[in-house]
Amino acid sequence: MYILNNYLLIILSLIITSLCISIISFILILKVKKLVELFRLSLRSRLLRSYIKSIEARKKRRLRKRYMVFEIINYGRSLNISKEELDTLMKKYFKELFGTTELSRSGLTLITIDKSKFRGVLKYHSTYRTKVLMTLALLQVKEGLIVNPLRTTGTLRKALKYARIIK
Amino acid sequence: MKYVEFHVRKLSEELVELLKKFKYHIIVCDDVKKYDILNDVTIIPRVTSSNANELKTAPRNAIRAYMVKSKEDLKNYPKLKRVANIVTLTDEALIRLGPKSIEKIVNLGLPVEICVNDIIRVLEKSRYLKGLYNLMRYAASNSIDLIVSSCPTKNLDVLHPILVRSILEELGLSSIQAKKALTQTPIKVLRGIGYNVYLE
Repeated sequence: MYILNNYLLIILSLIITSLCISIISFILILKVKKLVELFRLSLRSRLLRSYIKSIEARKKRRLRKRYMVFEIINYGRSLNISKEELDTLMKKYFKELFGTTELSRSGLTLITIDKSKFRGVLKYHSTYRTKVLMTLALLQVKEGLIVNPLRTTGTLRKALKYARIIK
Repeated sequence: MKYVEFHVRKLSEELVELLKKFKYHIIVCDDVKKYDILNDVTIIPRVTSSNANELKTAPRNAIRAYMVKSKEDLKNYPKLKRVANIVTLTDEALIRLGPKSIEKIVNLGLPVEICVNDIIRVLEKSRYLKGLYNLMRYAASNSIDLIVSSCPTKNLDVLHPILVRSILEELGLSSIQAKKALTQTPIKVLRGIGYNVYLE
């Protein structure tokens, strides 16, 4: 009887301790959740957002040049468009989409076009990548020139090498 | 990186070749009735209609897309979930749909498909895209799954996935969300129907 009583006591004490642990852990989880929520709220705060914006603005100041090699798919037909014409078309559509100030900021220029290889190289500032690509999409829809952007590089030499305009 | 072209209206060999060149490895086509592989490109059938009864009778292996042109098409919207796999918005819908109609679509829980060529055409006319901007708000907060396609009928309509992604980024999505609209979400829909497809 005495041994049985002892066992019961031990089991009871174990149950009570496990209950205590679970309650404590539950309280701790709640506290941590509150802390996480507080952290999230602090991340959303205006001050922090403005700070992040200012950092981004600082980054934007430094405009890096990018050179994009692209291919025009014309199914073997010769290209009836000169470099100057293509350049003005690109600038026209960019201006149509984003305006004159953005065009001057983007630094968009067609550097070269190889009619035999149907390849060309575009120059623009790195932050305007998506805008330039959107212009190319509009150029395709309006002028019927299927554009395949092949690669973007940081130097003109590499771009020309990739376009195989120079060896 | 491989992509999915979720809406090809008319299929031709030339078109498949161009899509393959542009790294589209799975094509979902209106013009096809059977699952097929052509030039290493997987072709999956699809039925697009604005009539829910027509979608009910569509073959099981086809993707059922419910086309929304105006808010009248969303009258029986709770039933759509049983019938359709995705909701497609036309250019008219992108212009006209108000916040309430877009909310209805969001509550449906189905992925929403938009056509980039339609967006470009409407942007050209410098019209205000009320429906699109309302939709983009939800897409940016990950409330809906967005699928983007160029909806080509001929070679000229095929846009490179990088161009499509850049258009989405310009419309307010992050680069990850834009990429997801061309890869993960379409694959999720295809797997939901039973196609064991994947993009390496």
